[in-house]
Amino acid sequence: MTDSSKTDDIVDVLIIGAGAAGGAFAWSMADTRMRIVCLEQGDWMSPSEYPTNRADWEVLGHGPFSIDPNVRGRDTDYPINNDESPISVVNFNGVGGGTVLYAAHFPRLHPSDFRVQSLDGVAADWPIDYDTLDPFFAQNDQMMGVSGLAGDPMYPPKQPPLPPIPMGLVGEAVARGYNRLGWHWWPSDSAIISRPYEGRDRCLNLGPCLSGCSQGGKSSTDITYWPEAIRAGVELRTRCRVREITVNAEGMADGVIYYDEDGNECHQRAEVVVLACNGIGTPRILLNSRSTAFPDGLANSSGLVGKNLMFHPVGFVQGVFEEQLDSHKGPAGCCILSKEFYETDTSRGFVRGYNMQITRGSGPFNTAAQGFATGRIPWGKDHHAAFARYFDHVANIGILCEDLPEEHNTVTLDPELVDADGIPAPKITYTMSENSQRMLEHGLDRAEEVMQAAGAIEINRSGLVRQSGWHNLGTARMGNDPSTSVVNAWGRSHDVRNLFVIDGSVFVTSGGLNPTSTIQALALYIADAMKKNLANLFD
Amino acid sequence: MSEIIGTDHPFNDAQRAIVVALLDTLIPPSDDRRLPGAGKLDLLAFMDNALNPDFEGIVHDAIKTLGEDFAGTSPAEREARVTAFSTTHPEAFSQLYMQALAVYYRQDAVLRGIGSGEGPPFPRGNEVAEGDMTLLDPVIANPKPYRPA
Repeated sequence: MTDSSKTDDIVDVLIIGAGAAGGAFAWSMADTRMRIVCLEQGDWMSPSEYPTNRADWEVLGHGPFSIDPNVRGRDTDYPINNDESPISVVNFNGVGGGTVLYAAHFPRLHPSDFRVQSLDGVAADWPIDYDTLDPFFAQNDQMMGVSGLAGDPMYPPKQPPLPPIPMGLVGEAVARGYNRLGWHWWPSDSAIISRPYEGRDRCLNLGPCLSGCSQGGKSSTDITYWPEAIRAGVELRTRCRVREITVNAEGMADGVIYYDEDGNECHQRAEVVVLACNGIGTPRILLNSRSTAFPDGLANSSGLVGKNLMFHPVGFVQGVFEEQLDSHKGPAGCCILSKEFYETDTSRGFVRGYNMQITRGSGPFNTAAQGFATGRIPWGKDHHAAFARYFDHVANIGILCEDLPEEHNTVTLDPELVDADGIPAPKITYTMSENSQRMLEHGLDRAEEVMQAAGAIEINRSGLVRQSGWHNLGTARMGNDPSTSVVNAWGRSHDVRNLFVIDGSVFVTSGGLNPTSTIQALALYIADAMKKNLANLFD
Repeated sequence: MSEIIGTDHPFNDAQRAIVVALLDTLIPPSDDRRLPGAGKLDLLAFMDNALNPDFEGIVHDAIKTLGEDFAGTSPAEREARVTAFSTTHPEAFSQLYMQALAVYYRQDAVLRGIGSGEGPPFPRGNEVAEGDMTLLDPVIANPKPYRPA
């Protein structure tokens, strides 16, 4: 039964999801002095609970702090059916969202990424361009505290507010390989503070960013945007899981139905509803918001809600080096990256491209466990010698491929699987395209060349990584034509004029780079557009 | 009133000897004795596998399979029996070995021996070399510009 105590309470702006996009958007909108409420299904995280406070930190990353919600299984998570996909979705549900467990690798999309159809004749162009987002990229870099090095010729000019995080011996070793081949590389932009910044102390090089940052050196939105937004008057309610968006007789969104911490069904009314639940959670809610007026789900007259799902297929090449590289020290996912093969060259047998990101090695337990799984580090009398060959002696090159939109790659509602509140779980149906497969193989070949040039004494190649569905994009894409897109050029639903989408769902194409920087720039840009159009927001 | 003093220790002495021998077979001391064998592990810590509530049962099954005389056999015989166990019970063996690794590689003596910092990473932290930024000189000297859109 719906809790009637809140049914007469109408907020101005209701945000669903307190992650990367929700935090940035809430902060930006706060200066309007409107009444803004955010509903988040997870909890606030406490840095003292993160694994790196404990001796068994590596084990916890495989259980309660796993990046896979189906493994993690917190009551604040929802299950995901990945049975029909070679890539499984990974995420985090809580204040900060995916930024709590992300690697904080923080490149921007390139100018060319917004003009894929015009430049390469595939997919579609975005209705906005790099220059439109440029001021919001810069604003976001300041708010998150981005470390990097200006001057990368592969980008228009930009100035990260902090110097780059140390590339260390791992970065040096692989950079020498790139230099011998004459290929591009550059220190990574990272949402990790290399110096004290805005009341936060610098990164301590703990290593395992993907299980949460005890130090707070990694910029998750629970410690960047949200404290500022709340100070400015935004209300954030945790453990509130939205089931559906409700509509009135005029076909406008008038609020949401959600379950509170005690499982009570509540109705929160709102003048404007904003979805910030990522490329999986957003189509899930839209598809579950069926009504007489919207029998196929809300905002879905194009039929494209949940379609065109794009991941970034990822594979790795590991190089083993004679010399000590201190591989397990320093931010795991950020070091240096190469855009040598980022743009289309049709002689390679595929269109678009990939980035090569150099990542560091694992801690002791994960080194031994991976060695056991691959047969490279045995048990018994030869264990120690084999362990010593790998531990602190490896560097990795990740190949992160641009995935193109295809309508048959979808997020739908599972007919049987439900979460703890009985809401249908998302089901992923995804096939990796031939273009992406060729791209990944090309990238792995090139990564082997780099490791050889760098002097690696052993090179190990891993194909597509299953547990790599961090970047869930395109499932409510933006565009000017309501028949081929779900939202307009500033995130407003074509069908429901007071409903906005601000997360990775709106991506038209995926680029070949980690998307969080672009997702947040988009959220800030949409907030700015809404503020500029307040007088005629629903026209 | 019972005169038995309760204990939550999962092994009697004979079982304990088998588990210690098993662990030392899986991860023996290093030749230079810099690294201890896994038999030195705290067995209660070894049994505390929060990720697998059935772990105690797996250990007791292994004890039975390896045989009562396991601890008293030669190193070569122990290795042969553990190899056989890993073949006939691959899933149980994997669980046992992964747990041994998980507990072994969190011991300060081991972390010291492999050149890693002791204790959890936080708040200790790590020093990482900034890196030689002159390596960027050829990239800057031969710039590859971004693709105009």
